[in-house]
Amino acid sequence: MQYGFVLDHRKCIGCHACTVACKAENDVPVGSFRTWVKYTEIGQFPAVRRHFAVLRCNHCTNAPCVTICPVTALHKRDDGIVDLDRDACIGCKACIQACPYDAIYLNDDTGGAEKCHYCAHRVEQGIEPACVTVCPERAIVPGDLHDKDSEIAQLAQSEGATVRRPEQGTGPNVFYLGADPVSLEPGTAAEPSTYLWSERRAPPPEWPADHDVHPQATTVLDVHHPVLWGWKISFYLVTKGLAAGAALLAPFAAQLGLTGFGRDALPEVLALVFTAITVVFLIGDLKRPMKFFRLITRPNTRSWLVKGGWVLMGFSAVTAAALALRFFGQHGAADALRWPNALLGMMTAGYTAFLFAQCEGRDLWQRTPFVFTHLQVQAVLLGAAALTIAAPSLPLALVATAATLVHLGLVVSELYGRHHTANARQAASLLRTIPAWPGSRRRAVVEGLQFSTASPLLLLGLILLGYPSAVAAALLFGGAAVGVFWYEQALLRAGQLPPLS
Amino acid sequence: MDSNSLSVTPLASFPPPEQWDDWRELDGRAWPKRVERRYSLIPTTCFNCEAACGLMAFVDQETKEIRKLEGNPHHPGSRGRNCAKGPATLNQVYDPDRVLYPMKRVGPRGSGQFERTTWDEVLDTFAARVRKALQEDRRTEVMYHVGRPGADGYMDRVLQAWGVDGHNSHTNVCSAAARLGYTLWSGYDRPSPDYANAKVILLISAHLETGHYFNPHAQRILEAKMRGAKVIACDIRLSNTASMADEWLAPRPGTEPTMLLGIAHVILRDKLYDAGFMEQWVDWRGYLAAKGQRESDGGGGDFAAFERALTEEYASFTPEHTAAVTGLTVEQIEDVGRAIGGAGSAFAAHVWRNSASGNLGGWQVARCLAFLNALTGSVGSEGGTNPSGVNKFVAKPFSSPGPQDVWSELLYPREWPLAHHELSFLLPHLIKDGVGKIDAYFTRVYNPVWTNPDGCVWIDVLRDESLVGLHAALTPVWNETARWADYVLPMGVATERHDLMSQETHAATWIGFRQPVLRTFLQRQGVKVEWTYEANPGEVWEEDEFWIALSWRIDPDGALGIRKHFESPYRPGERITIDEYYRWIFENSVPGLPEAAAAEGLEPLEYMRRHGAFLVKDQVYRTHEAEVPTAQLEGAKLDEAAAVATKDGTVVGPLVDGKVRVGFHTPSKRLELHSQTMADWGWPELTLPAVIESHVGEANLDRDQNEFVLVSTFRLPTLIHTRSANSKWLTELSNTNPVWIHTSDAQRLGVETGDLVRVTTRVGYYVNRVWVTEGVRPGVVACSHHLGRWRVKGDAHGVNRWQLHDVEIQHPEPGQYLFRRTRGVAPFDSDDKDSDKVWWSEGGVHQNFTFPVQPDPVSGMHCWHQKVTVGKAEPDDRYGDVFADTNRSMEVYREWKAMARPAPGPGGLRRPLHFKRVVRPTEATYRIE
Repeated sequence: MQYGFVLDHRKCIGCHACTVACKAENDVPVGSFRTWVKYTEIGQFPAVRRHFAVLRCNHCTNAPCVTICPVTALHKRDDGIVDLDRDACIGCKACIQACPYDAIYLNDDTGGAEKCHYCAHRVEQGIEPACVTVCPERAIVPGDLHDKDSEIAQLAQSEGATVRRPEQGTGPNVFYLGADPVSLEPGTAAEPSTYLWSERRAPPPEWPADHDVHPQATTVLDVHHPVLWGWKISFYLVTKGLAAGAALLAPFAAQLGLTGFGRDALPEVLALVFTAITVVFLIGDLKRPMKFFRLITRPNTRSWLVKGGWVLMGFSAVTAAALALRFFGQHGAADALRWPNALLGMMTAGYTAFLFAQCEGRDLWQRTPFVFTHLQVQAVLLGAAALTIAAPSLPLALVATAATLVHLGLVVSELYGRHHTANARQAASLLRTIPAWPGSRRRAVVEGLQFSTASPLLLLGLILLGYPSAVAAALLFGGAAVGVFWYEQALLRAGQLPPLS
Repeated sequence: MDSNSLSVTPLASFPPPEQWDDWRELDGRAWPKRVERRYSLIPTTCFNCEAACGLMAFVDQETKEIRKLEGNPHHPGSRGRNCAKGPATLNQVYDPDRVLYPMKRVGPRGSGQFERTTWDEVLDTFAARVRKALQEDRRTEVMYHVGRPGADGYMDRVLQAWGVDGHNSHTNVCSAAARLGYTLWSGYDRPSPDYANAKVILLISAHLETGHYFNPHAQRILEAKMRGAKVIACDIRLSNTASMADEWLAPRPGTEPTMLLGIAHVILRDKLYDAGFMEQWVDWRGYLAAKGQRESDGGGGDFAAFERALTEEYASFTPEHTAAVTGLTVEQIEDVGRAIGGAGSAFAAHVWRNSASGNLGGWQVARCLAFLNALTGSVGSEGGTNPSGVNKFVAKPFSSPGPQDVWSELLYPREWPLAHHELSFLLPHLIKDGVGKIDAYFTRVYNPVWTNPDGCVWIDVLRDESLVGLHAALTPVWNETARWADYVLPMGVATERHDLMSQETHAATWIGFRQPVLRTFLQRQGVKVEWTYEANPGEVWEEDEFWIALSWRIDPDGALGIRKHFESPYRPGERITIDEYYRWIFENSVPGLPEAAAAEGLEPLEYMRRHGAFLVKDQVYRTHEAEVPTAQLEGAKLDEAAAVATKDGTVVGPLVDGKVRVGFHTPSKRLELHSQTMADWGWPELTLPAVIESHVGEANLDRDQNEFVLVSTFRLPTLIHTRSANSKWLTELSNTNPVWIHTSDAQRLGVETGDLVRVTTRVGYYVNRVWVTEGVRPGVVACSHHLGRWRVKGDAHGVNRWQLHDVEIQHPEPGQYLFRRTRGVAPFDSDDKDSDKVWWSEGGVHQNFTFPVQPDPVSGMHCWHQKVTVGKAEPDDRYGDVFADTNRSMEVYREWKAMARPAPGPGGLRRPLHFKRVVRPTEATYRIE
């Protein structure tokens, strides 16, 4: 059985009754929506029309939100409804990144995610969802898509029935009849600074001049979808990269010119301290941080948030064991442990690539081999930079320089390379536009690259000129960290800016 | 049931009626916890727009609160479905800023300071005031001024019991023009299209998003469209309706009559008209006679002569000419003309506001549109257009006082004898002109300071206690007019009041019952409730009971002859209760209702309390074909040549197929192509469907000076004037009103979306943001009127903080007003968990202050379209600035008044006797002494 909707836009008059009835039924906060109507005007006077699109959860067959939810708050019921246990939710916002339809919002009052649950509480009593009951035009058809004789199944199979964003492979169970493709294809209409009878909550994305939009289409009424992954995530990507980088370089400590404490314990100390900082920020970014333990008590083993947690735990444990061995004088064993721990470091740096891969709403983040590689390169850069403080050596400077040049190359290929989906292309084009800080005219990606490129080169220059100093090393460390942070800020934000709906 | 035991039965739209009394439902707010709540489902009627759709209140049996409002499946008009404004009623019930107690002014009038008072004090104060006015025979000084009636005829009875001529309305800022156009044809002032069965639908309206009667009509229009009907929408800005239509016609403003006559031309030229219908039902003899008189050739002739003459009459409206005038294409005129002609009797058409309410002579839009119904024989037919009255059922109450024998010229001034109806929006102007004054003024769901044109003149008059003696604002919510009242009296919203309504939503008649659902709930629980305010939130009352209580105190001993109309028909000498009032109506005045109730073992009142609506008659068609009852034909003469029966010189009915039929409510009892009334009342040049040059016609615009036509009347699907305020769910969807301007005009002016512009009318200006769009005709700017709600800085009360901004009022010169905002919309603290989530900040601009009154010289309609200049904002301009000069606006008023042609008409009358008049007085009062 699979409940779904047919939204019949041959009949929809854009009246917003469904929007308001849903709010009344489910107590949806002002500013958030489980279903809404987008208006798109297409054409030139007098051959211009306003097209409506009722947008909401697609109760996907392969629901990416269910896959990514770390605590199984999101789940697919036997009747096909994708339901969300908002009490179980820890507020990690991953589902919002995973949904390619912008269908999930965060309730600021409770810190939990919420979405259309097909009015399961009504359906269980044999009553239609509230949006269906109110609709003046019976333009919202509910029912079981698997029942071939049902009205919905027949409409869904009729000619011209479409779904939103089929390329995402989610198996949406909301079908559209008579909707204009432009209104279902996010980001293809011009985005004005206000709407025809509503203000706009946030300015439109700063599309570059060459942004590819329908020449005569404008989004004239829509709702707001906030960017929810911000600086805390960028910050812990840096700290996590640093911790991992230290472990990655640890087997080569001697060759890198490290001695004494820097050779024996510094990589592990850095790894442990920065993993701890990472965990603090990871939990701090949860909207319900006190419920983080649910990651352990009710884990969704398919979610890379959970698997990432395991990686972090394993990494911390092995790192601590290495330190302990060293403490008890078992240098040989400690050194030997550095090799498996380097693998764990790779996973620590790189698991985010698999988490990003589960973010079905963020195509730019989904190039897993690329992202995985990039995270390793960043880890090496950050690790080398951190270790330089103990020993501003030529080998370390060379490693950092090599890493930063590869990083530069990867970012350039990201900015100017080919992207295979419209969403990824849109995000890549916005990557250039993200400000270094709110309101700034400086661009985060440019500033970031300048910092991350200039600082190793500067250090390398100083070393070659015979002035290796701790101050210069600290500069390298700071420059590399700030540079990577800015890049991550740009990547995170740009990934979240293109409209999905 | 859990999700594992899957049900394959189709889902139902509503809980089964047998469980409405005790319906158990899982709480969506608690989900996924399975929290079961018990509800009493009590039907009522929506009170946002005028459509009177059914609502179903879910009353939580434990908390005694209304949990939500859904549709009422037993309602024949809305059929269980609603627009956004239905469920949003919940916001209005629990809005943190609503007025919950009767309030009395402290300090000078207009100081904005109020304190709580009691209903007892209110009743005593107004009873004494009205009683004194009646005793001193000042029966034009008591006035009830209603914005949204929400009831059929209740107040007529009260006012006639008092013997005053004091019913004022909002009609002439709304529908007066179209009413005149329709009345001249048939004596019925509205159309009632049978959309569901139409083949072609022409909407000079936006019925897929608003209007009389949005939701019920939108349902039926789309039903027809899905069956293959062609929908044509005419609007000068892109409406949602136009977007859904097969054909969008956006003619130059004011040229709509030309467009319609061009369509008529095609139908006549191609002989697509229904000659059989026209020969029988159109008064073509009257047309030929008048034509003969006009051309001094004696007139007369047969129907064939009429066909030739009519074709000749409109011969000049060729598609080429029509296209040149309207800016439409020849193909559009040809296509639409042939489509309408081809639809024959299945042609449904409506003009609602739109161009009729915008233009000087806008009544001709309705006159020309109804012409198409007459040509196609689509009057009263299946899929055609009924006269409105036949689809409306107004039940008689237990006592109907006789007509008052007094005529108020503040309501129907002699300058506009053909007005439809009260010159409501001129009230302050007429008072300033010395036509009369008011001693006791009840405004009721009416916000003229904000809604009407020239609101500053309203402020001038309302704050002058020598002109308006004592003013009570009866309103569900605070509004801008209430600020200048002496009392602000909270009256219920849809779930808090009794009313009986009927609307012409389709080819049937029905009644819908509005009831205070918490009172009904408590009474079912055995709680005794004397007055509705005991059950409503705070002390919110309802008008029905208020007028009973007030009337009882005006005439405590019966000496004024009022008391008897408020005595119970069941308990002689006792004051009637609201239950008894409706009980009597349902037992005695609604055919079929007692039988339907009996079939369910219910008393009629209980039946209505449980079902909320009743279908009086279905499938109402061709009522004009009904035969005149034999009794009425006694003494009548048959005139075979004229094909009528006459009695005492007046026509009893048309003679069709050998029988005397009831026909229509015109002097000829047929559809009048030629209106002798127009000739008799001073407008001989306007007896036929014709074109009147609009005040915003192309000839009156100087395009080089950036003059535009401003369309200010269009509604949004989510809002309804100032009444749908106090809803957070509607406001978050629609919270500003930028000025729409076409891309080409914006380029010429050098403005982009979001830039500030100054829109200057003849009497003022406002500063607003601009919205650059392809969805408006070049040369036209459009600004919706719903937004821009304000509160005077420092006032404790304001309409609601979801919408309002604060203003400072300055007077640069005497008679001038400058409103400048001191604070925008912002998050606020309240019991509502959403009030800190207000993310919008501007809230729109109140443009109506800048409009002078423009009464149409014939219909009395305020002609809303404004000639404006649009330019970039001046350096000192700020968003939301509004300036109005009342000295100038009074001049414009006099200019328009001078165009009218005053009574008396034939026989020294103030108004044609065959025209409707609201709360009709005795015939004697029609004569000017």
